Amino acid sequence: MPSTFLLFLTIATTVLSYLLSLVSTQTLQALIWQLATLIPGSSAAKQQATHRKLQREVLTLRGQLRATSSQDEFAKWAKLKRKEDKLLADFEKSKKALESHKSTHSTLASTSKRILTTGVKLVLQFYYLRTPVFHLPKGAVPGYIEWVLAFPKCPSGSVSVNVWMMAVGAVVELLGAAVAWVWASTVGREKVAPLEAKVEGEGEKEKAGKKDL
Amino acid sequence: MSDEELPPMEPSLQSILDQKSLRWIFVGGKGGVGKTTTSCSLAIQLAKARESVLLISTDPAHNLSDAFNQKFGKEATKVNGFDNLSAMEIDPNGSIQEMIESAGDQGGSNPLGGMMQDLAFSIPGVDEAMSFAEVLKQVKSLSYSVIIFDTAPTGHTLRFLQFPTVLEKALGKISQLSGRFGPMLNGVLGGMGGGAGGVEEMMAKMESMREVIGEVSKQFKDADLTTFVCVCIPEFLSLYETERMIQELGNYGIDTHSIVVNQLLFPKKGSQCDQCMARRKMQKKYLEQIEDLYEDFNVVKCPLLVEEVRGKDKLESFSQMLVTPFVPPAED
Repeated sequence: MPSTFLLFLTIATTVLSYLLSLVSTQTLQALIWQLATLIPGSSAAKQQATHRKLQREVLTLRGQLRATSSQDEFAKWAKLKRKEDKLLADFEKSKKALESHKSTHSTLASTSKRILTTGVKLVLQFYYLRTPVFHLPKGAVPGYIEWVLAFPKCPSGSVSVNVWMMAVGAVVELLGAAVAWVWASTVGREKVAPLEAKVEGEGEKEKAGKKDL
Repeated sequence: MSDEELPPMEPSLQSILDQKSLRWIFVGGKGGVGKTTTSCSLAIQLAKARESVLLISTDPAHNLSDAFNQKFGKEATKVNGFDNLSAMEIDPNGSIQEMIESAGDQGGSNPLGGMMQDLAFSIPGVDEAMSFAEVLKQVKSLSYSVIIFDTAPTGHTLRFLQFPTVLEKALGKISQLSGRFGPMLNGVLGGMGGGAGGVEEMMAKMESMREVIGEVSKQFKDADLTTFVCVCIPEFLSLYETERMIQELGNYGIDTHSIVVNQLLFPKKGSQCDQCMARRKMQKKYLEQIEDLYEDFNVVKCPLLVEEVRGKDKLESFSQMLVTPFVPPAED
């Protein structure tokens, strides 16, 4: 039975996963980190808090150091300097710990991104394997095209979820490119540079992938 | 802090003389503050308290000969007028030069071996390490109860003391490299018919040196065996360098609890010398800072003398001030 619900569900999923694919893994990682620090009592929040505290202490100490003349009050200055050195060492250590903690989220970020984009699509395609999205008028297209459109398991004369999502995906990507182009040409050339860089980067990644194969 | 009840530290180096377990004593500080004078004086005092004392200068600008008015070389020589005090001057750069030359003679036939050698000798601190290892080998065979190092000005000294860690890291890297490329290099060398196994041989040499150095650094980090005497003058830059040095020594885990403040001015009562009075005022300011900052150190104060401290007799009288604190004359 064709359903409008399925039609919109597939379109919404495709659009959302396209938008999500625009977000880089790093951004997602940072977002996850932000969320983790918002949970009170979590290790991330504690770490962040101690790091911030250390940072504040270093800054106040630096201010004191600047305010102290090393020539006139050498003893005071040297004591402050010793404290600063110790704090800085602690600060570096905390920074490293923080970085390593953050990077543990990178797998989480990339996995969740993959699940939300490709995974959801796959699930949909498998779940609605036999459900036609809509029917074509009889005889509108030749039989072999009907067969392709119903691929893999929909009744002949209908459009399958797989084929439909592919089509929607192509259109969404085209629209996205168009929007990006309009954005670039109206907002300014300087904004387009990172976009180009990103596309180039992806091309290189593909090349690298091929080399690996 | 609980040590506030402790009596103030003695203003003399008596504690070093009394600490019989000490085997290595370093004397260091900025150039021109009187390191050599201090180390010679300390050596003279130690000679009275110990069986045998060796004074080694690692400063490329050797001053021991000048201080004692006697020529010293690479071999330990008895100082005239003392029976248990010897001195020697080593050149940190000399021994590495020799090693490279001798290596060049051996491996003259294969250029790759020479290249590896160049690579190995380009490790920072390796020249000091080599000369140091050399000295220690010599010193171990001779049996001195205490050895005093008159070190080169600050930066150099610190590099000298840091090298075990640096060298260990660098050697680790090189042995990794040679583990990967060694077979290939040896294959090439073997194919050329030149001295095969040169790389391995060199690695073995380096490895043995690392062991020696590791042992030495362990000794240097033992406060019972090693201490560092900082020499400074009451001026900003010298004080700054001293503070930096003390912090770095702390990082290396080397014990230091003595500071010698040299060249103090004590103008006579009713002195009309404006420069002297102004300088005295400045020195007073820094002395107060030193006492405030280094309350857990033996701070020895030595006056600026009117003559150069050269020769046995003058050094001996100067050395007295390291043990019995100098009493400044009355001031206005």
